[in-house]
Amino acid sequence: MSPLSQYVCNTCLFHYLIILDLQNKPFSSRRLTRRNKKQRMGLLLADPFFANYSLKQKLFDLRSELVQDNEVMSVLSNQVKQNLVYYNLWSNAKEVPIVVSDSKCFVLKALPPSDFSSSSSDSLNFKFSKLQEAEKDSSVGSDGREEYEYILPVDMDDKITMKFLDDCFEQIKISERIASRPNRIILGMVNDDSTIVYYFVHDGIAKPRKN
Amino acid sequence: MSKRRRNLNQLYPNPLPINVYQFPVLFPHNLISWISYAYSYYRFVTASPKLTKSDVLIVEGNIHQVKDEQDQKRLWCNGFFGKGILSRSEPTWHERTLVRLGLKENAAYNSNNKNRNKSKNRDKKNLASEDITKLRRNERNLYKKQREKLEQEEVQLRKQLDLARESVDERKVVQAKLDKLKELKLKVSDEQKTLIKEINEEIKELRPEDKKLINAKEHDVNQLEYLQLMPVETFFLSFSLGCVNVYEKKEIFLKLLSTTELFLKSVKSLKADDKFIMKYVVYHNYRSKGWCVRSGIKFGCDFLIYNKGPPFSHAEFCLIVLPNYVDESKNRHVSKKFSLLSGINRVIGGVRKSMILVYVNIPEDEQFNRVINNRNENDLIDFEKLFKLYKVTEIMYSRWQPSRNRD
Repeated sequence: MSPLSQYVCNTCLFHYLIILDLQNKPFSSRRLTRRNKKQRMGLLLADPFFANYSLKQKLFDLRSELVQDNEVMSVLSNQVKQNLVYYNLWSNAKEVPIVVSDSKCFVLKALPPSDFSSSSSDSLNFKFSKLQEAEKDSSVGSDGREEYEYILPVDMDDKITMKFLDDCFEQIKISERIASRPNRIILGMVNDDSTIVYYFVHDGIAKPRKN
Repeated sequence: MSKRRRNLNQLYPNPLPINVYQFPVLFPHNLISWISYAYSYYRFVTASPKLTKSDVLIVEGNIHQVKDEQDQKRLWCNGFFGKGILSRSEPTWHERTLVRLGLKENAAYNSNNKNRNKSKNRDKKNLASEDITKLRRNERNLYKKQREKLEQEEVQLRKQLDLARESVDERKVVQAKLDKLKELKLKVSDEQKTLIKEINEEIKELRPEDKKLINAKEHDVNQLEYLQLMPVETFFLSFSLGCVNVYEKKEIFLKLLSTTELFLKSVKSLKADDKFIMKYVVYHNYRSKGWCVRSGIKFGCDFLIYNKGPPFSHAEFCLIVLPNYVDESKNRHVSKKFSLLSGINRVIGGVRKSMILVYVNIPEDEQFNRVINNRNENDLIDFEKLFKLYKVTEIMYSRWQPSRNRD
């Protein structure tokens, strides 16, 4: 499917929707800025069957679609990303494509907000905290002091094995080019009512959190 | 409390998004009953708002979207259907974001500066439920940090105690500890007071993501949120109430789905014990008995049932949907272990709800296939016949401690 038809699918609700390119320029660039898109496109709507619809209301909000990146990514990781960024207020969310057990999937990489409660200091063993810090400095390196979390979007019906998780840790290390495997990843489980439940998966033993 | 209840009843008057009219009883030999009947019929025809259908769009990944704001409101306020994708339940993300980014003053901050300091308690009431949760979490975090500090100090004090065992020192140390504890308590309560301010101050830092959101011209935030329905909800609204139009994307066009098409899209496999059918049977059962049924994923069960709805009260019961076959060997194969059930029960007990195991009697394949294959001229499945094959049995599961409750 071409990017254009994808765009049309994303935004139309009508039986017939014709998009005219007013300036007669081809839609070659995949990422058009918001203003460009608005100027270039004129929407011509013909709706023989649902004439009583109030067009203004039923037209899906074009702007909302435009904010989302047009990158091809799975529905699942898109849902998790949206939840992280706009509900839980994480920032710098990016998709990291990884190959686990011969199938492609996405892991999200994002920065938690500053008040993220379970930072490394209270989840890791106190005795080893100095050691851990030293390790982290080398692993984070160029990214600066900020600590990225890795989120693996999964469906409620997915069956996750230890091998799968192990591969995930390994693949993140490889595709992110970091010295060691991440301390932990977060499973983001997507339910059919759009609730997303997050769970930590630690690579090894972790000190339990104090309540 | 009663005032609040009355307010809620006004806000959410209908248990379902349909209009119901009650006509007076008609006695053919009584002329007065004819008159009153005619009058109420006249009222029904003229004054009543016509039943409007909401639009549901099914997109890739079986996501059921309701994008129109009025549709969202209709489905939420009449029976609490769906969930805002960026909210806990009611779609309030747009409003919350406006306040968070400082584009709109929260109702709580409308009063001028003088009042603001005095009326903190009132302020808290006006915050959205998500914000209140945030406040509580902040409080808890601050408290934790304080506690950590104190504990470290305590460890040091104990070390000192070990070194100097003279009684006078000991007393001093204990006294110091007590002082610290008092200080801590004061600090925590102080911080509670400044928390609301802090939330306000957070606004100043805009993430790049937030800048993208803001529509500077219109002084507004782009609406990203829509209401998402569970597949069982959509099917209930479509099949039982007939109050939604369900569309599906077909390349450029949108196709209006019939109830049968929606059903075939929702099931994973056309078998008698399909998870969707089982869940729907349970959903329908409790909805038709007047309960408000919502997803129970946060407590590790299939559904939560509310007496009237989330704003009125907490859910009382958690449902776990289980199949019950005619064939006993199959039952043995799918039955859950008690360790699993008691684990879930502990979680549910922790939030003061009771767990109900809902067994769905699964019809035999033969019966099931007969109904599925016996379609009418429009290729539609007779769902009434289909769902009559199913039966629901409930078992309440609760922990009994012989030493505690002996009656």
